[in-house]
Order: sequence, then structure tokens, then C-alpha cells
Amino acid sequence: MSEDRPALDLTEQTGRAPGERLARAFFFACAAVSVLTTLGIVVALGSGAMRFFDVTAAFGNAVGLFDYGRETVGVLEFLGGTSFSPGQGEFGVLPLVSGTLMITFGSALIALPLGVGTAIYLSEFASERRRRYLKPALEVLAGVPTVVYGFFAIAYITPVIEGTTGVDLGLFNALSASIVVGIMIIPMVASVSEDAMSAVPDDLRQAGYGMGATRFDVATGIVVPAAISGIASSFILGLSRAIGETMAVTIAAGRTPKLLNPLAPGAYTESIQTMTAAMVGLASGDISGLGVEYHSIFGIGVTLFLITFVMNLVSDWIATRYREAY
Amino acid sequence: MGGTDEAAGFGRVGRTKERAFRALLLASTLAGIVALGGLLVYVGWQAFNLQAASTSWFALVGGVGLAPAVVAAALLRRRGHSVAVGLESLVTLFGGGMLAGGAGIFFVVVDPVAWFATALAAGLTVGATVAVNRYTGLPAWPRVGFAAVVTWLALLGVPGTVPSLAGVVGGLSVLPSDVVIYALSLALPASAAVGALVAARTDDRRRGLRAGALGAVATVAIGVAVGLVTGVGPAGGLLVAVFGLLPAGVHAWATVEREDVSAGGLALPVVVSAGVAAAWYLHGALDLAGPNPWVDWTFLTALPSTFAPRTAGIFPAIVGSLLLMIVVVVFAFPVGVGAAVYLEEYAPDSRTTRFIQLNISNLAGVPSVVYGLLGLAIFIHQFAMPSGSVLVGGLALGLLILPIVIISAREAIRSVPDAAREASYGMGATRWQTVRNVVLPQAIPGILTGTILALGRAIGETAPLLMIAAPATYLGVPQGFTAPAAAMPLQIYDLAFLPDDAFREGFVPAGVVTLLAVLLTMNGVAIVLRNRYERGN
Repeated sequence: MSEDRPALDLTEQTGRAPGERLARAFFFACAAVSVLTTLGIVVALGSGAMRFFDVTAAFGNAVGLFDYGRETVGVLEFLGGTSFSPGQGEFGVLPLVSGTLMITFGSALIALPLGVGTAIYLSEFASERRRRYLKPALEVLAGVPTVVYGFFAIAYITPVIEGTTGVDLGLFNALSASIVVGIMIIPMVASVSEDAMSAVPDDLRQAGYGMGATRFDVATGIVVPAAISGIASSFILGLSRAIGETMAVTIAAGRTPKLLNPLAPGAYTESIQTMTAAMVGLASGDISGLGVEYHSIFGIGVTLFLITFVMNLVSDWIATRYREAY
Repeated sequence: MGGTDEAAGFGRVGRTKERAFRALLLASTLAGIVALGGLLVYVGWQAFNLQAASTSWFALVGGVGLAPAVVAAALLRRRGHSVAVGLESLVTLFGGGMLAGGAGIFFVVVDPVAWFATALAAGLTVGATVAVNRYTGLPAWPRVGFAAVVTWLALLGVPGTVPSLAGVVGGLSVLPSDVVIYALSLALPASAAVGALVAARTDDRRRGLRAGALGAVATVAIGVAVGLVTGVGPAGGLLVAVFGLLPAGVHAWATVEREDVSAGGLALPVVVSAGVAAAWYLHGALDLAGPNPWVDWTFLTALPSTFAPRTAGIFPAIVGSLLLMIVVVVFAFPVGVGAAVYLEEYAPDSRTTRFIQLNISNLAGVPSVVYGLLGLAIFIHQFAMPSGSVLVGGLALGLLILPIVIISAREAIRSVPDAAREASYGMGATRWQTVRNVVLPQAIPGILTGTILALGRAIGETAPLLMIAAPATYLGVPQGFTAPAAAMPLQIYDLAFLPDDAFREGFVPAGVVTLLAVLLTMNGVAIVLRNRYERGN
């Protein structure tokens, strides 16, 4: 944005020169690529998903969008079905949703408290020197590839849990997958929350101290409430990351879609499958041609995309709508 | 921060609760870091198979290999030298070595002669265009047209009638050897860049010319010498010199030139190398029981196998990851920087602009697996690109990191002070001239830092590659950009499930360590760049 720059008027004269126009056109085209990407995602997901559902496929055939004569799945059958087994032609998404919810819920139990604790520590208690070491360490936490986290879960975390608690876990289980996904999203929750806490002006803190408040009182009674919109948006961003997380859960959570209660602790010892893992499983398995199995990937993909998209929008909206302006 | 001086005295009330709370917060900060640290130590232990090593071997490594470096660092710090400078130059050497290895692998896949022909054609095109711009009084449109025609002729030619310049060079009967090719197409431009850098830093054209000439001669001489001494051959040695030693030399020069820091820290890499070399020699001479590492030369250079973990390697996956990264850089860097320049320097405050911004921030939150679907449905089925190929994978990964590149490039461009832009406009420069001569040169270290970090994200990404059906275990070395290729994280994914325990307890940890080593080196280089950059402002 260069509106307030006095230089703008000076350059208007030269703006019509061919070289200038060419440069501007090139830069605009680059910016347009991001819009084209979104368009590409919408078209890819939309055209695949339209061929997957019976209503939309009929609609597409009727208006001549495409000519698709192969098997389709009913919308209700998809959204309400309790069994996901593409080989048998069963495409109920509920087991996958419950798997995703389990991972999201389990990882949130780890990442939200630890993330907020980290943010309060970094913003209110840590010395400048400690911050210099801790922040890059957290960046490393976020930078380790998710496939590596998945390997850690099956190779180290599951055996350690079995060895220390005596709980019988299989090679694949929701528990260890939730733990690694939780560790993975701590930095995201921490950094967004910390930004919000750092934006709370020092005057408020000083006022608290002036009233005789301790640091604990100031942190929990003033800073956290003042930064609550940022903390909330960091939670939603973290959850949306957990929902979209793919490799760690594909490796560690298993390949058996089950409709389980995400709030029941016992369910976490079982092998499950999330939406993302199902997409990977379908894409890397043997799919014959461009039939209903292939298009079911897009049906799940659309569901996943919509959930994360809405969550990101809500997070944005909360952050701007409830931001305390100081 | 809360701990301002006036407030500090008030923290004395309610001490127990305070302390407990503080300890709790510190524990939650460290929980994830410590957990990951433990996992990394364990995976490293397995990858290097350290349980096989004897106590005396550990003593040797600690006493001869590491202790001198620690002592040297402590001494340097006490004398007031900067240890950070020493670490920076170590990272530069390490990163350069990795780059040299990457270049070596690149020339395994791409024929050096084809590379030379393309580089020559590109160089001549740029030269001709610059000459026309500078020495003829042609108006702008003909100049742009001329550049386009020359580029087209040089790289593609007119099929059937005029062969392309690249084709002509490739078809010559007397072809230059690899050493000559690397010297002309790599050492010479790199030295010219060094010369330009020196000239710009010291404001002294002559000094720049001297530095460039010296750099060229020294690089070729040292490279050939290194190649002959170590046995990798002159061509390989030249790659080491160009990518590994030249950047370290430039870093050392820049450190010596600096006034705020003493250059004593540069002794650190010397001490470290001497310590490692001594430990290496003694290890052989004393015949101690060392570890039997999984990460070894065989592992890095052999083909994978699903039944013989000890002789299996991940070479094709390394090549695949390298080719993927080349596609990602070639696509995402110019487009990302271009978009950032548009949004920061050109865009009016309009609805379109706000839409583009909202769009970019939303793209950053799209799950990676969805980018794989984009590649699958659009690139493979719509545009009929080869399934599972490097090109499709690279494009999907490039689109995935594009928002990250754009966001970090915008930050770097925004940090260029407006005074610099206004000074440029005040001199009568146009907007494009200002972007090219003022904004981009100042923002480029920040842009590079962001791009390297984004590349780190791309190199570990697996889900999009699985969606576009990249072969998880591709047994051969990929043949080019349209061929299918595995990648390092895919290899890890694929072999983690093999029934043979040796894979899970040795081979896969070795792959994890290799991938993490590449990532950490990239992050290290990015941090070095960022440190230099922040001081520059």
C-alpha cells in the first residue's frame, strides 16, 4: 500500500512507459497466481465431489457440465452413514469424522494448556535471554516434518506408554497419534497467543501492580483476559491444524475406520482412521479408474476443506471483531 | 514485558503461589521441547548405532574431537571475540558442503554438456539484451521484443530451420570437459558475483575487479587441488570450491571488514576441523571399537531395498527430493517475490487487493493434503501431466509454500525504509527502477531467509506427494523432471511399516537423521542470513 507516499504523484508520469507496464503486469500476474490457486482448489474439489454425490452428479449431467454415468453416493448416505468401507461400497463419513474428532480432542488436551502456558511464560515471565533460546527451540518443534512425528509415535511413544502404564495398545492407536499431533501444534498456539499478550499495553500491567497485584494476579487477571480474543483465535487455528494434519495420523493412528466416542478415554487405545488418512489411503491404494472410490477422495476432501476453511474464517473474525484496541 | 523495573519490587507478595505458577509455566514451555529433544537423541542413537561403541571411543570423541572446540569457544568469549561469528562460518561451510553435494547429484541426473549449452545460451541472451539496452537508442517496445526473440532463438530455435543455440553447443564435435564446463558456467559467474558484492560493499570498482579475478583463479586452483588430493577428481573438487569454500571465504572477508566485531571467532572452524581430523586419525590408529552407524556412505549412495536393510540406501530419494526442491524454487521464488512486490509496491488500496490478501492468508491455512488433490485433479487429470512426476510434485509443493514465501517476502519489503524509496523517486527513478535498484537489493536477505525456511517446510512434506501418486519406494534413480521420483520423507513413510525390525530400528532412524540434518542446515543458513540482515538495518 503506497497511498500515503508523496512519491506516488511523481511516478504517475512514467507509469505508462512500456517497461513500467510490463513490470507491473508481471507483478500483478504473480499476485493473481494465489487467486488462481484458490480457484484451482475449488474447481478440483468441486468437480470431483460433484461426481461423487448422486444429487450433484444428476444436476451436472442435466445441465451438461459433464457426462458421468458411473456409480454415485447419496448425500445422506455419506453424511449419516456409520460405516466407511470403500471396497464394499460403503461411504459413511461418520467413522472418519469421529476419528478426526478424537485426534483433535486428544491433541487439544495437550496443545491448548501447554501452548497458553508457554505464551504466558514467554510474554510475562521469561528474561530476554531465555526468550532468545526458547523461541528458536519452539520453531524447531514446528519445523520437524510430520512424517517424522508419525514415526516417533509408532516407534517410541507407543512402546513407552505400554511399558510404563501396562495398557495394551496395538501398533496403531489414537493415543500416541494425538500426543504427537499435540506436540506439533504447541508452537502455533503459543506464538499466536503470545503475540496477543505482547500487544497488551504495559500501562494495564502497571496499573495492576499499583493496586498491589502480584505477577500471578496480573498475568491471570489482566493479561489473559485482555488477550482473550487472540488466545481464542490461536485455539481455533491450532484445532484446524490438528484436523488437517495428515502424515502423523496416517502413520500412527491406523487404517481402520471406527465410529467411536471421542470423549471416552478407552477409545484412544484403538486403531482408527481420520478423514485425511482415509484420503491418503484411497489415493495410494489401488483405485480402479475414475470411479466412485476415486471421487470419494474429493467428497471427503470437500468436507475437510470446508471445516478448516470455516474455522480459519472464524478465527480471523474473532481476532478482528473482539480485538481490544489500545 | 511485565517485568519492568518499577514493577519488580512488587513481586514479593504471595511467593509460594507465584513460584508454583512460574514453575508450572516453565514446565509447560519445556514439555514439548524436552519431549522432542529426547526423541531426537534416541533416533540419533539408533541411526549411529552408538551402543556398539566402546567407552574409550566416546572418550576419544569427547576429549579430542569436541573438547578443543568447547575450550576454544570459552577462550574466545573471554577475550571478547564473537563466538557467533565462528558458528556462522561453521554453518556456512556446512551449508556450502551440502550445496556442493546437491550440485554433484544434480549433474548425475542432468548431463553437464546440456547444462553448459543452456547456461551459455542464457548468458549470451542476457548479454545481448543488456548491450542493446545500453548502447542503442531504441525505444522500449522494440527492446522488449528483441529480448523475447533472442531468448526464444537461443533456447528453442525455430524447429526445422534454425537450430537453437543450446542445440548447436550440445551438438559440437569437440566438447569441453566437465572441469572446463564447471569453471566457465559456475566458478566464473560466482566469482563475478563476489566481485560485484565487494565492489558494492567497498564502493571501489577496482577492488571489486581484483576480488573477482582473484576469486576465479583461487576457486579453480583450490578446487582442482582439492579434487586431486581427496580423490573425488578435479570436477568434483571444483564443485566443492565453488559452493563450499567460496561462500565461506566471502563470509570470512565480510567478517574481517566489519568494525563492530573482532574476527577472532573465525578460528573456531579451524579448531573444530582440526579436532575432528585428529579424532578421526586416532580412531583409526588406536583401533577402538567405534559405532557401526546406519548413516554411512553406503546409506547415502546405494539404492533402496525392501529386504536387505544393511546394504540399502536412499540415494534415489535424495535425488528426488533435490529435483523437487529445484522445481519448487524455480516456481515459488519468483512468483512469491513478485506477488509480494505487487502487494507492497504497486497495489492500490482497493477491493481486489484486499481480496488477494484475504485469499493468501486463507491459503496458508489449507491442509497440505488438499494441495495434493489440486495436483491430482488439475495437473494430472486436467493438464495430463505425468502421474507421480517430479514436475507435478514440485508444483503442488510450490503452491503449498507460496503463501509462506509471499508473507515473509512482504515483511522483508516492508522493512525497507520509505526514505530510501523517496530518495530514489527524488532522483527521477521510475517505480520499476526503484523496486529493482533500491527495494529488492535491501530486502533480498530477508526474502532469502523466508524462502529457505519455506523450502524446509516443502522438503519434509509428504501428503501432497502421496496424493499425486509419487512412488513411495522407487528403486531407480529418477531420470529427469517428468519422471516419477521418490522423496526422502516418502521413503521414511514407506519403510516404517516393513515387518523386518532392522528397518524400523536402524534404516528409518538413519533416514530421519539425514532428513533432519538437511533441515537443520537449511535453518542454520537462514538464521545466519537473518542475523546479518538484522544488523544491516
